[in-house]
Amino acid sequence: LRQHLTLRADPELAALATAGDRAAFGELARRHGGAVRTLLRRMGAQPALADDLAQDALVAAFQAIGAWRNDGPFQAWVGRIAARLYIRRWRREARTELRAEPEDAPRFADGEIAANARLDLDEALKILTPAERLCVSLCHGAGFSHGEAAEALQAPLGTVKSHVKRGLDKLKVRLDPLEARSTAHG
Amino acid sequence: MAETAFETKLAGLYETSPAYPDGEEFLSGLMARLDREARLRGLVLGGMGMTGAAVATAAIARSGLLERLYGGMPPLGVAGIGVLVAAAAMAVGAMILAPVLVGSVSEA
Repeated sequence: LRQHLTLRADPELAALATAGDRAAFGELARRHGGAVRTLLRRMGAQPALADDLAQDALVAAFQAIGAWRNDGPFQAWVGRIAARLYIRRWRREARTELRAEPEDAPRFADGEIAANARLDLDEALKILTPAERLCVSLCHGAGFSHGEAAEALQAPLGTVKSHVKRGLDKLKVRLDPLEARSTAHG
Repeated sequence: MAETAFETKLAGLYETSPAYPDGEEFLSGLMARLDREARLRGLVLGGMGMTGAAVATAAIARSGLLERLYGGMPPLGVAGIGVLVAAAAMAVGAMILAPVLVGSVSEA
């Protein structure tokens, strides 16, 4: 049965899950659960919380599976559900207030940049402030528009935009140092 | 919003995810949770169905509908028919609840 399900495409599995087939949904969860866990960690959730919220998101996705219209990847749809759950948690705990906090991009010496260019996204995200990390991951990981992110975070649009901009600038220095330098000099 | 080459690259990086060594554990936890919630839903729906059936049967018996339908010649009597209808409703409810309850017991 499991082998039979692994051969099916996401929309077929979703159709089976809509009819109540939990095994079909399990196959969807097996394919995309890791991505949801990763997205939540990249947004700033601690691993245990990320896993709890990923499960909550997948349960919510199962209950609302009929709402997935196959107008985008299933993973992106669940990712958005997970992102909204995390934002709700983040806002409830009010651990970090989303404020505009002007900061300069970190400076690296040439050798440092070359070494840091090898760092992956997860390492690079660590240099961002929590607010920058959240905004960048919402807009570039979960596919929120700036407006959607501002609405979800109940923050001014300009604040979200500036966090995204500063976060992207920092990531560029880490992940794409050549482009970052040419942009800075240009 | 025009997307720069870096933003495209970043979106690609966000789509990558490491393999989790506890992936199967995560999945089995999720499936157990889905099973539990399905059983709970069945329990609630079955319980509501049985309660509804009992209430409806009592209401029908009180309304005198059966007396009017059988015109004073019910072979079992109004109370007997009421008991039969109630028993049938309870049996249907039990059929709905049985797999739910059996699943709960076997899990425990």
